[in-house]
Amino acid sequence: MPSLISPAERDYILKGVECNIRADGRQRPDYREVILETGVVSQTSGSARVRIAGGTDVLVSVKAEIGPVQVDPETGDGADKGQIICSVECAPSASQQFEGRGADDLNNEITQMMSRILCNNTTSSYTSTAASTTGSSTTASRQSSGPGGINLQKLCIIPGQQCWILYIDALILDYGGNLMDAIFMGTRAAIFDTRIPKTEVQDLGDGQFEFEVLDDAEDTDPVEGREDMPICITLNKIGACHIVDASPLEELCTEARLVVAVNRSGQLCGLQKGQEGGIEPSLLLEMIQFGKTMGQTLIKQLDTKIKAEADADLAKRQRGEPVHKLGFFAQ
Amino acid sequence: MTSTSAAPSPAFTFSASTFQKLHPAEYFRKFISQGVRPDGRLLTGFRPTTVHYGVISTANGSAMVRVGGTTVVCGVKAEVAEPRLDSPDQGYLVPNVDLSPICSSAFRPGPPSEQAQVTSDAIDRVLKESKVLDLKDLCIEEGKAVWSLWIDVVCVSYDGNIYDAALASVMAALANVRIRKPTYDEGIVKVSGAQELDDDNSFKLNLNRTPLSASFVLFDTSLELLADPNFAEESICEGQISVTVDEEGQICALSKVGGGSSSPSILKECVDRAKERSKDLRALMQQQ
Amino acid sequence: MDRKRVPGPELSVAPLVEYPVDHKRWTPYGETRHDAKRQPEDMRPIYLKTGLINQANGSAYIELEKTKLACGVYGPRPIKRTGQGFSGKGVLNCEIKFATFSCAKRRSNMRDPQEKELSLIVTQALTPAVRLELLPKSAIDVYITVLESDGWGSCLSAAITCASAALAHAGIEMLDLVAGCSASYISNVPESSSSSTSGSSSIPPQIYMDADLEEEKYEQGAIVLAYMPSLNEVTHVLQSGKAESTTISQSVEHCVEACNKIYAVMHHALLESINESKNNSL
Repeated sequence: MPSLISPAERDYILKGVECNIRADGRQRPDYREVILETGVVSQTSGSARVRIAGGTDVLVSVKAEIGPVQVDPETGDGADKGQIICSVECAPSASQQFEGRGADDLNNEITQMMSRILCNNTTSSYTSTAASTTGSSTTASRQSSGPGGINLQKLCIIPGQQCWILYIDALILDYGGNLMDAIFMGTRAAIFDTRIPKTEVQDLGDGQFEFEVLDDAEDTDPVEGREDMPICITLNKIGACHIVDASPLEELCTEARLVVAVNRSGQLCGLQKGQEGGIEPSLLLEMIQFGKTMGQTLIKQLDTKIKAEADADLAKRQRGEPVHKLGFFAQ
Repeated sequence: MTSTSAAPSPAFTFSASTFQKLHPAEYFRKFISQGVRPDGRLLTGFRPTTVHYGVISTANGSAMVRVGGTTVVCGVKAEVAEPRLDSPDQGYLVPNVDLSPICSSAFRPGPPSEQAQVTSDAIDRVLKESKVLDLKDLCIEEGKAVWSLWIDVVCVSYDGNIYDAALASVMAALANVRIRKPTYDEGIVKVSGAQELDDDNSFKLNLNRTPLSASFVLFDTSLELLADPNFAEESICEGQISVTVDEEGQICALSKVGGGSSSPSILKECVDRAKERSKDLRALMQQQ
Repeated sequence: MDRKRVPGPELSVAPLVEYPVDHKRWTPYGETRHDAKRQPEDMRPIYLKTGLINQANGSAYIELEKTKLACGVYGPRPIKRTGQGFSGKGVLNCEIKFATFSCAKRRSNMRDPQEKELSLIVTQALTPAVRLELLPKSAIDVYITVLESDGWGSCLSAAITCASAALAHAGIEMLDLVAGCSASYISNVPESSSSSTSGSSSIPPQIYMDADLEEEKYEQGAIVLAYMPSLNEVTHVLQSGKAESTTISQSVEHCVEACNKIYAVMHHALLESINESKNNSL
């Protein structure tokens, strides 16, 4: 990960972007080749590894664990919801600058952005509690969740007591530009790969409950609402134009960066400007539109690939072959 | 060189502000010898002080105190905690002073500076040792739940004499505290939301006494006593004497920090002046 | 354990709030906003004053009814950290800190991830305006203390506005002032009734400018925009929650408009501070 760029290099990249030919021969709206694998870490509930040709290498793992629900003392909200906890860590091996505490700020920035996009479920907190107290659980479960898509109510085991907590951990193994997009693609793939064991709740009466986790690897639930999870597109404004999937050098020339999170139905689930430059309002709106269209296409392609991967695993399993992938890092 | 004062004036002259920067102590001494201070006060003068109550609505009690250029905001938040094993019916009073980097370039981000620790500790001792509040008043259910009053003082602008300002703000904020009456039920403490706070659904703290303080610095070898020092005076002077008295004129705390020696007569003078000052300050606090 | 502060109980929690059955809570489904005064496009009145912190090079205090923030600017001063090598540009370093009593829930004395992120956002929002290229080898420290917060969005936008006014007050060369503004998307129709008509997405939500905490609890999404009015440049945008792109473009327009109004307030406050200092020197 270079941290400095010479004026000549900068000029070369700037002019190239202006002429719609980037240093590696791509046009402005072109992505690099993305390599995706799922189910790479056997100890997790679901995992995925995303590599972007040119360096970026991200490993995302999802671990489902049982924990107490978190209730807001003021509003009583959250009693019937599971949780998602995100964390991003840059491995020191990815870049010299990540050594020691060098990656703290970057980790924090991405973690907060991920949490905001995936975990934020504040939508109509009062209506949902009102619905559940009146007993109409159908309205509560139908309730469209926040921007993250994932239905948190389905992650609840015993309301007010126990729920599933999904820990989403992204590990950045190598840095080659465009981290955010890779992390979100990886997260979507990892959540699609995730299986949550079924639970059986017993009512002991007197408001006492007990539950049991069924130990059947074949009979598990997928994460509900995963189709509605957003992915994000990072647009880098260089000169008067914007590009996607910037390489590290292009990122150094970026004046302003815009991360657009979008779900499959084209709703915007988050928007954040980064870097230290400004954007004109008209260009901002244009970039949002562009990101939205781009994102929807990308989600389609990603889903096809995820499905193909899942199908291949299923076929293997049906033939009785082991589906464990060994030595993935050496590939 | 005994006749320096009679020597002809030098060929070049300074403006007053340049002189102040080059020789702060000498500049200051010139003023003091005339019986006034650079900001126009007499040696015994305190800076104009204002107190505002209830400035923060997210806190159970709050106050803002301004002493000249020093502005502090104190907020009290009441939370529920388990009592200590050795005092099952007593709540907690936790005063802390935050001298954040916003208020002066003398403070840096990070853990509390030495001065902040000293001030927090001094206020903590005054509150506890002079029994400002009966901690049993903060009991909800003996051995199970008590109120913990987090008293946090944030210094927004620093211009000397933080102890006086912080203590005044703590006392004002405590007088301003209203806590909703709790109900205890099987390990859960509930308060009722909704209605406006009144005497039926909430309670005020019963303060036994209101200690207030006055601080002085000793200037130079002449041991001139300067009341309510500002930042510049604090940095020039050596010893600082703080006297804390309650409404009956009883001394709650007396501290003398820093170098420089003082005599019993000086201490006595400090106590007398502190009694007067705290009376004025108390009157000011009761006006509102 | 923190030995540098007066220790309190290891664990303390806010008591559970129980509302009586007949308690009427404000909902967005009625006629009015939470304060019963404002129209959806109205902001709260802004009080902005510069120069309240004696020792700072520049300072400002902003109040939007309950939201209260103070900001102090120190610098330009030499960079303290060594080993970073020569930097031809100055460094703008913003730090935002919530007072422990500033929110409904007591906050910790430690810097939490949210404060770190907000600090970064404020830095990113202000940097495009400051002419750092004129200040090699130096740092400008901007410290913001939130005394009371009434809504996340309004707090962040007030921090940006306040910090930019304080920078100008410190006499640091800038291209333009940065005004910050927030808006929330709130559905006017209760969730349960809209479920019968194929989801809430068919009815676009109402855009409430400068929402307060109570309104934020109902929001589907929110946007914070930082904008330089004279240069017509957006210096930061942060949107959370789910929204159609039409809602977003509409709210961006609203925010730009509102920022122009805030700009006038900032102008006024700075002019006033100049007049004051003139009068003082006379």
